[in-house]
Amino acid sequence: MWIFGKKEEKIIELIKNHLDLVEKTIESLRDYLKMYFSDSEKATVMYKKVLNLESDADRVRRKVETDMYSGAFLPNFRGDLLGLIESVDKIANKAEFVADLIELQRPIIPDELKDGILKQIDLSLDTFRMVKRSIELLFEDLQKAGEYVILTEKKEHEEDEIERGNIKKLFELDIERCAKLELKEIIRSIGDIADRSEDTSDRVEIVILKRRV
Amino acid sequence: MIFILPAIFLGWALGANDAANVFGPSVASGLVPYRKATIVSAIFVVIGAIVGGAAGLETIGSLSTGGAAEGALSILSAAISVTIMTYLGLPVSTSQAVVGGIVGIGLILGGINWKILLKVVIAWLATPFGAMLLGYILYKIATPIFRRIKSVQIQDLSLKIVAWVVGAYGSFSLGANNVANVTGALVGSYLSIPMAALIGGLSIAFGILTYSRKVMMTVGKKIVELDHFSSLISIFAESLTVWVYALIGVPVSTSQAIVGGVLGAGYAKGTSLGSKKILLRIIFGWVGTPTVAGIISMSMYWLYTKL
Repeated sequence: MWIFGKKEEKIIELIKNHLDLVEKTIESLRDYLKMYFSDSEKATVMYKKVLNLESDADRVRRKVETDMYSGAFLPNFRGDLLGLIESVDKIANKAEFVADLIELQRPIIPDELKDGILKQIDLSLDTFRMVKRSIELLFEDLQKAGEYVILTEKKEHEEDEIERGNIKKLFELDIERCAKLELKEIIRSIGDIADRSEDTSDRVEIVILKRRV
Repeated sequence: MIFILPAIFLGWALGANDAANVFGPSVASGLVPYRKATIVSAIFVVIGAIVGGAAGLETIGSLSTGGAAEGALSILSAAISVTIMTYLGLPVSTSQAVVGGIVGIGLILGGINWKILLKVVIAWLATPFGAMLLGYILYKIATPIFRRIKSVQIQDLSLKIVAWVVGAYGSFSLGANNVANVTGALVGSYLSIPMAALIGGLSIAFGILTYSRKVMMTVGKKIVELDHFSSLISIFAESLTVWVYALIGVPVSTSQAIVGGVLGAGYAKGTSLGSKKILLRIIFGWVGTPTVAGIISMSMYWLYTKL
């Protein structure tokens, strides 16, 4: 441990904890979707797990915000870091939103779409994992953090392709138009998890650029 | 005692204004807290004045052959000039005001040491350019070292430590160089060099401790617009320049030195921060400040002889 920066170390631990919780929220969403596709009644347990994890992430975020202003890091960096954490938190919010959409509306997911949707959530999770690593690397190796920003963009792009394919496939199906619109919102929202991860990676990039001399 | 009062006032004003050039950016950006910065700055100013102020005090003391009253009047004229010009928002340098004040009275009385005056003027002209060159070189040297620091928290910690070291060194240089402005005109006629260094250093420290916050914030925010790293490089370049002139024995403007440092670091970074306005302010510092102080000191001396 860096003995001269205990406040900073504490904040870094909290940030890593927050990132882990957001990752677990998305993982739980994926597990929830898998379960919903096979047995929608049993999936409710997983749904609650998503809500709980999102709520835990929220709590840690608030703790980071409070502790940050006790004097950790330089003042001009605090704002950047808080913006970054809030941006990460919005990813968990989106995962929760997707879980809400499905659990509360209980849509019928056509078999033709299930694999595509699971692929999408896997890629959204991968995108998040890249940005998560880039944030962790801010505190370990700034140059490598930049490399993970690029990887985040790449993964988000892959997810975009799958998302487009899913929507195209959806509108080719012979189902009611309102069902299509309902499913489209789910597909788009899963895509938003990757989009928000990319937005967060933009913030990481700004932090790196600001520190470049 | 009455001869020392203008010096104490000038020292106080100098401390209140010029501490901003060494700790301003660090305080304004929150790198170091204001109160602790002023305490460290005050201590190092006094040490600088006592340890390194002798050469400058000797130069200013031998610029003219006037007595204690003329010395005190020169200092008072400089103090008045600095106050008026600060109030009017004009660029002002205590070093140039003091020399203007001494030369003003010296022109009436005769006895100006033109050789020393030439040395002083050359030093003034070279100050911003010297600091600019140092700012450029230091930036180029320090950048690869800073880039080796991999994480944000260690970067931040390093910046904090460097801010204290550079601030303390800058304060030391400020004391060593600028103490001659405060009590130099009284050296020989009224004060010994060690006594002049002590009184001058304490006066500057008093200004730093009691009235430096406002200028620190104003100047600091302007400089810190660069970034922490570049602003610390600029302050280091300024401190090094001012310290070199303390060794040579010529009081120079820390404000002009910091401008040079900022420009040099800026050029090294690839941004041109220079402008016609900055150049005009520097030229005004060279010409306008000593002229105004000279006119005031001549008028005051005329009044003094008539009363």
